[in-house]
Amino acid sequence: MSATDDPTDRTAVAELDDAGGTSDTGHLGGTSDTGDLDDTDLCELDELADLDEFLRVCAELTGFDEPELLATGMAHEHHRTTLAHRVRDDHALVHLWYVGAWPGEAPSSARAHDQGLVWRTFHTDPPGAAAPGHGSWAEPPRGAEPARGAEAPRGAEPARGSEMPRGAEPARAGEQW
Amino acid sequence: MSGRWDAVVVGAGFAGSLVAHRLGAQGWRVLVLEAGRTARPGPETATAYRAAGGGPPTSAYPHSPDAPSPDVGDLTGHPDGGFTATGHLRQHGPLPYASGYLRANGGTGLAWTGLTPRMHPEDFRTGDLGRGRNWPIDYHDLEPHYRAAEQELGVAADAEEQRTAVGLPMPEGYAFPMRAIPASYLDRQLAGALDGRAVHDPAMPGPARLAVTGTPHARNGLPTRPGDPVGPPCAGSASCVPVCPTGAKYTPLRTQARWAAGVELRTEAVAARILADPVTGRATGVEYLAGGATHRVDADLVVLAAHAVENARLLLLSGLANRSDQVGRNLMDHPALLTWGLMPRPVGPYRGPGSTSGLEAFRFGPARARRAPFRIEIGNWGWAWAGGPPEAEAAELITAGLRGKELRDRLGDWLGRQFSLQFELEQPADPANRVTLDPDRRDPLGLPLPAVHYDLDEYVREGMASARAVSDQLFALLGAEDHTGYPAGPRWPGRLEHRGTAYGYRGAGHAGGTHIMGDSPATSVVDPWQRCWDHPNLYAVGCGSMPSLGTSNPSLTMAALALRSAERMHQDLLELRRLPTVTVAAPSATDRSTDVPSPAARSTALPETP
Repeated sequence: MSATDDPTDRTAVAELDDAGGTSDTGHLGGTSDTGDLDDTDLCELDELADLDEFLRVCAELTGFDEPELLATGMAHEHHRTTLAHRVRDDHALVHLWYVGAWPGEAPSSARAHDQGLVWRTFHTDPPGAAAPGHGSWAEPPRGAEPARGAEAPRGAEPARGSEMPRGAEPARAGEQW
Repeated sequence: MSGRWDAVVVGAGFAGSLVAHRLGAQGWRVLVLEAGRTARPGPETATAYRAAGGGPPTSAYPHSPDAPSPDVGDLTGHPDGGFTATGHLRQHGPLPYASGYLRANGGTGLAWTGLTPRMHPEDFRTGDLGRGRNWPIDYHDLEPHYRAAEQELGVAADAEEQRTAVGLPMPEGYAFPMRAIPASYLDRQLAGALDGRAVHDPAMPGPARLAVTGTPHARNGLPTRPGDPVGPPCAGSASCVPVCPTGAKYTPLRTQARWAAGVELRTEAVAARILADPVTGRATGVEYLAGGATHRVDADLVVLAAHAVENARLLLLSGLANRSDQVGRNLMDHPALLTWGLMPRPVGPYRGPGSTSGLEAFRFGPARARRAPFRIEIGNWGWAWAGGPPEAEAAELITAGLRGKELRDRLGDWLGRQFSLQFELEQPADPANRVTLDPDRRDPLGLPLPAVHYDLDEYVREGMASARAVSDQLFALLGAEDHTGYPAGPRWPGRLEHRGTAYGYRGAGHAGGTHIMGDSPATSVVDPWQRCWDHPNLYAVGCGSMPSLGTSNPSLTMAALALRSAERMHQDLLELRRLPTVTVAAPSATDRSTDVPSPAARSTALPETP
């Protein structure tokens, strides 16, 4: 549970912020740490320089379609992070989208962390990233069986009563005090 | 720097902030020395924590190199059992003291969970069970102060539920300042499956009847009296630990914001020694280190409120209050046995506060004579404490090669059904569990570091066996898949085997007992007012005074005790002012007595308790 990893590459990413879609594949030539890349990786590297192609590949790898990926608002940031790394593989790309961070690094931003797809898989937000409203946690999550007596037993057992006042407190998100 | 104060308080956490507030409100001039730094505001802290990708709770807060503190990350389990400890606390074992704390303005109260159950009347009489010690005061002595603390912290709970389901006496018509925090969807699923059912605890003569019961919170709910200004209600950010981004959770900073002008805070001021007159025993002041220099402040009253471990360390460093040889002894925590699994259907984990309800049936009754009692917290945050955060689980599946829809569906199903149960066990006071000064290691300021001897006795181990047996039956009633396991290795430094079964525990962060309260100077460190027996104007406040921890998260009890002691401190100061021989100190350059009304001229009435 290390909180901080080597921030060196985060700086590199930040410096690329204004680089738009430019590719840094030029770094590849002659570097010694590309020895473990096979032909597929090299082929993908060229393709990934294009944002559309990046999204297409990522949609396939993550199981989230392109509109879903775009809706996170992270397409450009994750594209930049990807291009800032010489060695890229399936694993790193999926990790980037699901966790919001390149493997072994801290997230590129708080937003990258907040938009990690892992939280989308079960329809929630990471801790601290959202304020869904007082009592929102009492509502059934998406995919839960409709009520099926989850709330009903309170009313059905008036003698037990202990949760009545709490059960009777439906969430009204955004209520202000 | 010098100057005379009515009171010097060491530590700006829970107890210290409350004491300073009450004394300041009575017109006393109070200096608060805090070893740590001031954290950034909640929303900023929350954002920075997320940008760092999470980490241990204390990592969200500023760490002063001159005021180090222990962290859960200091402990690593070995593959063959046993553990290694690094950092602030030297650990002599045989088991690890598994909790951290935080030295910062606001203390560990910045990162606390915010749950505020009262102790049960039975919890004050543990000595009668042959386990640990009795308190010199009982529930009824503390009850009005519980109410005062609930007012001060802003507690949301249902008084009738606390009376009937937990057995806590409260005056007729008493209402908490805020209505109960709504039960989570998970709580409701558990209530549907468990309420009215029975399980068999091997230590109990009969079946235990189950009832999912709401937990009191020091986080804003809806006001009991509509229109009362209570601050923004909890918005469900699911981030109480390490920081509430909306300010709905109480922290000591809220009390500090109400301090009178006569209260002054100095941060990064590390108390090194309490000074006392060798003849009279009276404390005369505090020596502290700040900005590379040694400073001394004089005061009529000295209050230690620096955390159970640091209070004991300071008393040991000062060679004070130890006629009974109990300073540093009786170290207690709530060892937390966790069990975790998957519910049959999605429950929506990681929404709302970390826990909103619990099961209370195992906290009291005759079984207590045979095994440690425990309170069961229902965990709303998946397996975060037991296993790891969802990111870690995602990383694991990604590394295993899962991709595309399969990855998405597997994670969604797996994470969406996660829940955990947290069995917080009482650990009785045992003089052998103790804080000492490490003869070999010093902190950056040259002060000897604390060291700890810690073990869990047969009584706690029997409590773990009961807890696990109860857990197994709960999982069966819920139709839940049990994924609990405590493999020897890095993730389980707190691990033991009892009657052939392995148990893992985490520390709940509830250190207590190290300046234990009692009715005799021969056997205890502080009197029922948390005043050191050996030094009539030296108080040691906080969970360190507690003779037993019961099964309740102790912060509310610590707050109630602090408010009760603040009344006694006020009386002590008034009595001092009535004695002309005591007020001999000449006003110094920094004496600010002209800034505030003379306390002696004020009413001697004690602060009102609601």
